[in-house]
Amino acid sequence: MSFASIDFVFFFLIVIIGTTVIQSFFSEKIKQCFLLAASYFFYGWWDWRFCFLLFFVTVVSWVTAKKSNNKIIYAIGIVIPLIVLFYFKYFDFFLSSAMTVIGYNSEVLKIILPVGISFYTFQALSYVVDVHRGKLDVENDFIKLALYLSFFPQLVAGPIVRASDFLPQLREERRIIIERLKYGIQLIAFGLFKKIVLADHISIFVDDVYRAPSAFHWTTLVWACISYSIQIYMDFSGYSDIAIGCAHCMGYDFKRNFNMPYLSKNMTEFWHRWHISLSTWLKEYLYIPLGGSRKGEVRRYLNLFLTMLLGGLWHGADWTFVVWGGVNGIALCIDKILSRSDNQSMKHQIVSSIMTFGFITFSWIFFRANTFSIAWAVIRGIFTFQKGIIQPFTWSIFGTIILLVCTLIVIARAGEKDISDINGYYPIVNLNSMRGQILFFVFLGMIFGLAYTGEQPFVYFQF
Amino acid sequence: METSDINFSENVLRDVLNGTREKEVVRSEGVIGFLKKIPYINLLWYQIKIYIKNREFQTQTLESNIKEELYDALLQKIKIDAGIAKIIIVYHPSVSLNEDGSLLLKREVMDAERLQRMCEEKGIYFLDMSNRFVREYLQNYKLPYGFSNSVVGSGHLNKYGHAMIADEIYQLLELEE
Repeated sequence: MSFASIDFVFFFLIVIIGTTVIQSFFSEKIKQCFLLAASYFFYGWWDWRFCFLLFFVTVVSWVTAKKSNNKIIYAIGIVIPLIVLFYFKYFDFFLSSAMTVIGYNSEVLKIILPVGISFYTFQALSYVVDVHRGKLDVENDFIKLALYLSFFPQLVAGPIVRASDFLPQLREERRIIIERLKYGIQLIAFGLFKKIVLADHISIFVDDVYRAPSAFHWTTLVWACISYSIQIYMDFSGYSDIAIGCAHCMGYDFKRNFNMPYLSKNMTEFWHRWHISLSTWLKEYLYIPLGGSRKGEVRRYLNLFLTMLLGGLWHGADWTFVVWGGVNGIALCIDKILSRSDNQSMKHQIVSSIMTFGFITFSWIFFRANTFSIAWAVIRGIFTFQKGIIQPFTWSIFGTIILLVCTLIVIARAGEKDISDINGYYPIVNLNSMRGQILFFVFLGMIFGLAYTGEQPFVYFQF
Repeated sequence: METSDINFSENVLRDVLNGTREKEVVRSEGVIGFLKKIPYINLLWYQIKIYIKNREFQTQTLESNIKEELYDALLQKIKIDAGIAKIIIVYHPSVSLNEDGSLLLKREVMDAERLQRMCEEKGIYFLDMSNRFVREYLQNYKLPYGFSNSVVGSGHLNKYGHAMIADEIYQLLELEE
């Protein structure tokens, strides 16, 4: 069930009305049971059989976390979600890769990839690890833990909500109130605008170019790469906005997942601003346990590289994602090795931001291309100044202008001398005022009037 | 007359010849047609359609061969209806791009050739744009369909497509004179 679908509109309305009624007459516990049932219904809408898998991961986490002082049980709590993830997401990939290496070209198992498996297994892992480390109290209430892992706004494409952030919210009374609804609905509207107005339209052009890169002029290839940078940001941050907005409407708070990533002056800053929930997860549960920067410079770079390599693999079971992760890992290492310039003039910062954006855009080629031959065709086309079709796709121009204007407004209003200190925000309007209502409904009208009418799933659904 | 498709089903052809062919329903008709002009409503409508389609999964078989006697009758009808006017049927097949960057014409070569022969027999000009489309793509990388805000090479004829057709018609008429 996609957030941009009519199914979800009805589903969310029913959940909001149901939760409001239940919170008025029944206990918090009943409300959580209702939300849990709704979340499983949401997940089962895609394929009901995989509800059992989600339930299984939940039970394993619930049982093992209780005895996580025991090393063997703790190991079971870590290994089982990883096995589940490995089997459903990577087994086919590694099997086919191994077959290719030894010269066989046989059929793979074609295992169905359960939607959102990468997200809920990571959440389950973080819960068990946090309990083991003593950072979090064990959750004895199964309903609460199950709701944490399956809560529908973040279930299929994140953000990866940490147990230490969400479980405490479930332990207190959270209610649907008008003020939260007003705020949440505006976040949902922002997310929908990003997704169905900008990302979906831009995807038409990007899909065209990546389907037949040899047919296009090199300037169009460059434009398509820039367009994809905008598309994936609008798509994924749009999804996160809708997820955060939905949770907010229901009384729960998720942390931000994006913070103006293309403003970053270097790759380290980029990974602090992009998919924040994943990068902090990788840092805390992979980079630091590997040794982080505690075991010397060489190990530090190796750990960084390995973390990004696995981060790339997390996105998809394909070598193109591994290369994307590796390229980012190398860039992060170089960024750490190179000493920072003391020159902090705005001109210097803007040049740094543009160069960082250029590199990110280049690395997205491997992320977007289905195969290495496609990625190579795009890169070769650009660097050989290939002739071909010129397509100045207008939706990409529109998306770029919107991104630039919003960025400039934030920079101007922040009044900071250092770009790194600038944080994005939503221009939430006061819906109690006439001005606020007019602005909001004009914005809604824009979404209605400019929406893409085809069907484009969220990019991160595949992960 | 211009068409991007020359494969009509037997039923359609019979309906046209019998004069019982109903007018194509356009999206501007009726309340739903009006609402569908709003893109977001159209998106929701599209989703409902997919939902219904998935529930009532049907396979449609397309007629792949030209029914000569029906086409013959159709061309005869066109010729009579036109009176003394010259008839030019402009056939502009759909195109798409192959992964290697080459242009793919979505046309049945045999059908186009047969139809051309039948037209010639009736004194109707049949202008097949296929070669011109390929030539323009190979020489100038111009595609006849699509716009700067839509799928490349797909949809309605664009300014290049119209120019190519106009040029070919002009050349044909010049040759005729």
